[in-house]
Amino acid sequence: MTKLPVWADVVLVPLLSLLLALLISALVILAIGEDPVEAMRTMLEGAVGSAYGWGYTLYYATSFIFTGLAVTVAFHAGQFNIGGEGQAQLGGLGVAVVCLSLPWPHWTLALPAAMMGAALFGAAWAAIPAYLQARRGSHIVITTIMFNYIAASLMVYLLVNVFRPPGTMDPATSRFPEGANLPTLHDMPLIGGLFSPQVPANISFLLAILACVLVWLLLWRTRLGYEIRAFGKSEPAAVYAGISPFKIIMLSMLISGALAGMMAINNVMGESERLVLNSAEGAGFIGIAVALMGRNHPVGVFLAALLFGILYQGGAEIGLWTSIPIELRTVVQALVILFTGALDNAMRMLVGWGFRTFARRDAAGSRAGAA
Amino acid sequence: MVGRKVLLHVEKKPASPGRTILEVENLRVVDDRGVERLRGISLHVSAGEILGIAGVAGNGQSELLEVLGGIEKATGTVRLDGQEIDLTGKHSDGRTRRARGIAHVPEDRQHLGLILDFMAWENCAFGYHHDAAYQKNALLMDNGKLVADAEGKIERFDVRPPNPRLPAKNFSGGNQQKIVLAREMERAPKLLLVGQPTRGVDIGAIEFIHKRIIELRDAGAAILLVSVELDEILSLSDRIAVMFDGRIMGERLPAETDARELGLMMAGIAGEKAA
Repeated sequence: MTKLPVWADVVLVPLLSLLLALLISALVILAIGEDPVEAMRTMLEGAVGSAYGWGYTLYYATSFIFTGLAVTVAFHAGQFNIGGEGQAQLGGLGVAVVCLSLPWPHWTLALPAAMMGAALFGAAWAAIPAYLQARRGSHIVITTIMFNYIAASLMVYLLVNVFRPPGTMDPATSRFPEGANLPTLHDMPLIGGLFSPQVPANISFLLAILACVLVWLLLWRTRLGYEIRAFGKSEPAAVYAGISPFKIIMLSMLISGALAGMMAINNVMGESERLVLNSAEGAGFIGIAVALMGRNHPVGVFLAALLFGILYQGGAEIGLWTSIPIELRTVVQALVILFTGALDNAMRMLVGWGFRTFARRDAAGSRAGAA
Repeated sequence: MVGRKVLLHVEKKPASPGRTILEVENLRVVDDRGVERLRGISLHVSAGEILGIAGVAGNGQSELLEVLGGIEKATGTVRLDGQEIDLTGKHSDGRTRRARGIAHVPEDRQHLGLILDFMAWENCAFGYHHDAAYQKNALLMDNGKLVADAEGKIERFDVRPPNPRLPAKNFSGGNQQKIVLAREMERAPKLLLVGQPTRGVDIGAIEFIHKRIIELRDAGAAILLVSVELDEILSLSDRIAVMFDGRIMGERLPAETDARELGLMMAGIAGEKAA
């Protein structure tokens, strides 16, 4: 197989995959007797066509960046962390504990503390499967999946029996103090005018961008990142080089869990301002698709998270304004994951075949021209 | 084929061994399945000499290298330059071995010696990536220095193509081996462990690699050479130890033995120990 040019590899292949996914989504919409053009327009307009729309898109994207980065860091160490969902819910618990424990005077004080709480709880939830993998060889895919269910049950127990304020029937914590409320993007200087006041996109979006930079630095500029990538590529070679598998599995999963937990800054502290049941709303799982589509690079994760933000917000708009059920967005997401993730290599081969055919025709053409 | 006469016979001066660098006493390894792979190995290597380990593959040579290189745990005593090496503890790993001056060219470069998806420049520091010379500050590595360092190694070891930004998997076997050798030999190690230095390597590179090993010996390093190529063992070694079934069958001087006698010892037949 010929090597594709970089631009084709990084831009063309994902773009074609995306187009194919949308094409098939259109066929599905046709099959249920609706107008695909109308649906796509509603979706795009709803996601990026207004200050309200992109405010929501960025809000969702922020969560997906954190969970996507979480999957990315673990992936480079050869660990498939499926537990982002549970780690994000535990991160929410960390945020809630921090925000409710003190009458915070100002968000600038509450934010760093809440970030520590989110990261700590998320990391702790990832630490158990990581330890089981590193010491006992229990497969991390299985244990992290199971820990999602344990996290869900734990949250039900805690919210119903521990955190629910007396006299309410809602399994949720009480509202966080005023001083723990994060500024939305609308409140920010310079860029505030781009966003409408009702949207939940908040300062965590900037933290997510910072996290992308830090993860890039970690993986490609530090000794730990070097060891993580080496271990992920070849465990025997890593051992030869004196890299401890235990250390790498633990550290990569702790960082991964911390990143997934940090997602709670966005949805729990930034949006709902209290901890509710199922707070992560599947963002932990979407993080897997985001990392897959972003090819486990922070820049790719950022772009893929934006795309999934658009799909998520646009899908909601379809459910709102057309007679197409909102579940369609799950179908579209699934197709995008199928084509960009599972069928990635097939698309690459197809594009490679196209390149070779053109190259041959060009060569034949120039020979004919010379004659 | 290579455009000139090939020197398979290595030209070298007689060794002038100095103080003992490596002392191994009663080394034992039991693998995961309970099979004893090393059954009480004792040997020594002095500065400025090459001890060749001859043997049919699978008679414990790999385990010997891996124990000394810090990959596998073992019982027994190993002293480097008079100081005992921890063989079982938490810090018995490749990193501490390197810090003690043991360099290791593993038998399987693709499986152990290189990260095939890493660029040549990343591989040139593999195992030595904690070296202070490669760091920009307390947090970050200095990738520019790593690339410059790799460029020097590539030039001195004639790695082709001379491109540090190529993934290791895109180099031929001989050039991959040169990357590993450059990394391990340029540190002026006290002890060099070499396994199958020329396996799957083209004939021009074989000669080059042999020369470098002799040069390192003459510079005063102790070299433990494991090879299944009897010719290589006979032409490079200053002493030859033959391994069979996890034991040393005996030691010979290359001038006083031949492939026939070594072959019989490798099959476990001539069991008498040389003095």
